[in-house]
Amino acid sequence: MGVASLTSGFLRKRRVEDDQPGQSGNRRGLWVLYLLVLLPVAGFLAYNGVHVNDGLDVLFLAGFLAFSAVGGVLIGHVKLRGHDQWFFPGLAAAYAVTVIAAVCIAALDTPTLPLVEIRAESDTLPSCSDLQTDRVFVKVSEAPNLLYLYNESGFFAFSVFDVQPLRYQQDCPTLRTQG
Amino acid sequence: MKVKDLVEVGLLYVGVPAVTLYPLGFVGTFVQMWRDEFFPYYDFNIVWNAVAMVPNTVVVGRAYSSCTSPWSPPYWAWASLR
Repeated sequence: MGVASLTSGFLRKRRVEDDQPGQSGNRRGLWVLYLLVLLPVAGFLAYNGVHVNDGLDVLFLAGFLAFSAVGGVLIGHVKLRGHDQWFFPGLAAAYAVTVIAAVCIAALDTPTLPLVEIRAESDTLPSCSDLQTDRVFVKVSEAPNLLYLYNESGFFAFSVFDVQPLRYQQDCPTLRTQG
Repeated sequence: MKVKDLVEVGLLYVGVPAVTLYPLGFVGTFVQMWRDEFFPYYDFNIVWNAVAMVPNTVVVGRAYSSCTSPWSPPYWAWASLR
C-alpha cells in the first residue's frame, strides 16, 4: 500500500514537473504515515507471526517482499493513469502479482488443519510436551467411517472404529515447525 | 451511478476476489503441505491428492486469512485503490 502511494505520488510529481518546470508540486501523499505508523505495526505483527527457519524460508520471504513491491508499483501506476485502456489489465496484473506474494507468505506457515490424538487414553488434555508423537496426526478430512490423517510416518486412511477415542489437540508449534 | 457501473464495481471488488479464493487457497495449502515437516511426501501427485481431500471451507478459509492478514498484499492492493 505504501509502495503504491509512493509510486503514484512520485509519478504525479514527475508529471507536474514535466508540465510546469520549476514547480515540484510538493505532494508527499500518505507514504510518510505508512512509513512511520503502518510499517512498524506490520513489522511487529510479522515478527510475531512469521517464522523463518531455513534458507528456503528466507527465499519465500524475499519473494513476498519483492512481489509486494512490484504489486504496489503496479497499483500506483493504475491509480495515476485512471480509467484508461490499461486500467483492467494493470489491475489484473497487480492482483496476480500480489496473489503470488500472498502464496509466498503462506508458505512460511503450516496448513490450517487440526492436530488430533488417536486412541486418546488420559482424561485430561495433555500439553504439547506430553503428547506421544506416534499417536498424533494432522487430520486432512473425513469420509463415512474413514479418517484421512498424516504424520511423519505417512498419510493414512483409518477406520474411525480403529482410532477411537479421537481427541482434537490445541496447536503445538513445537511439533509443527515448518521445514 | 448507473447499474452498469455498480455491476462493474461489484465484479471488481467482490467477484474477482471471490472467484480467486479457492485457487489461491488450494495453491497456498499445497505449498504449506509440501513444506510441512509432518507430511513426509514431496511427490506432486500425493500432495495434490491430499490437498484435494481438504474440505473446501478450510481451503477457502486459508485463502481468506491470507487475503485479510495485516501484511496481505492482495488486501492492501485492493484497499489502496480506493
